[in-house]
Amino acid sequence: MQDLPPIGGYEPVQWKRNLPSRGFRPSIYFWGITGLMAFGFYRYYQGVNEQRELLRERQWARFYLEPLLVAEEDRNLARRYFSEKARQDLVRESMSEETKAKFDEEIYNDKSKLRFPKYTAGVHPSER
Amino acid sequence: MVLGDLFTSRHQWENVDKNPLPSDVPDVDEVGATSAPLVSAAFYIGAKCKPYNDDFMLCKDENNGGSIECLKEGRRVTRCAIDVLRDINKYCFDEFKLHYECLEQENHRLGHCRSSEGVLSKCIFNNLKLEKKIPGVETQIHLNENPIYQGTSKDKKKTAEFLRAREAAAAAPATN
Repeated sequence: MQDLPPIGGYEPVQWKRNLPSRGFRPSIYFWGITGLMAFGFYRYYQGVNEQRELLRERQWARFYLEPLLVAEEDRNLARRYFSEKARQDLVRESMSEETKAKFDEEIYNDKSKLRFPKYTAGVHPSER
Repeated sequence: MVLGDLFTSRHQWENVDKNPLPSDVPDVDEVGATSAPLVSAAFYIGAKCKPYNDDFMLCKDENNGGSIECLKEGRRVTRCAIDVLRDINKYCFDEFKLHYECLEQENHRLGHCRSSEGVLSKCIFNNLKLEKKIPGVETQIHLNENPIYQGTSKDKKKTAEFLRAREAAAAAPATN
């Protein structure tokens, strides 16, 4: 006794797997992402170069202004320097001989520098 | 005496020296421009005053700082800068104002004010024959047509408005 195939035969066997599509070929993803990253890096370094040039422009603007600003500041320093010299001469007039000798003694051995007069403190707030 | 007096930083330091320069040093006007106009005009000052600027800086270099020795060169530098600013104000005042007001708004970033800078440099080249040039490089960043960092579009808008107003002003007498 043996079973026989049904009338009309068996249904075809599904031998192929029925998986959903996984998108493009892997190589397309690989080259696509590589291309995108290459473009990103290209733009990034373009931006870096541009930032550098912008900084250079800024620096040269400053360099061109520097003599002008320094000249103005120098006039202020010279004004205070000469004023302090005049004040010291005025003070010196009313000094005894030994005080004057002590006063004229050089504080610094280094003569290569110009020593500007220092700021002096004003009166204490409570005395104003 | 209050508690705050204990802190030394509360003490107000005062520079009381108000004496003028001695009379044998000639007087000179100060430039008196604020930062934005100075930045705007910097390259034109640099182009016009290069000999004076170099002379001054070399003098300072030779004299170990030279704050006292280089007063004469310093006066020349200042006079030259004043000349340039006066010329710019005379011939290109509106363009100059457009540009430095943009700089003022844009945190002094030159890259954000290219449109108005183009208008200003054109006017200055036509009238004063001065050109902005950044030394040491081939690619002049301010001539870049398509920069990455452009800032806002405010400057473009204002410059377009400015040009339109000027065109209208130029056309108005013709129709009358």
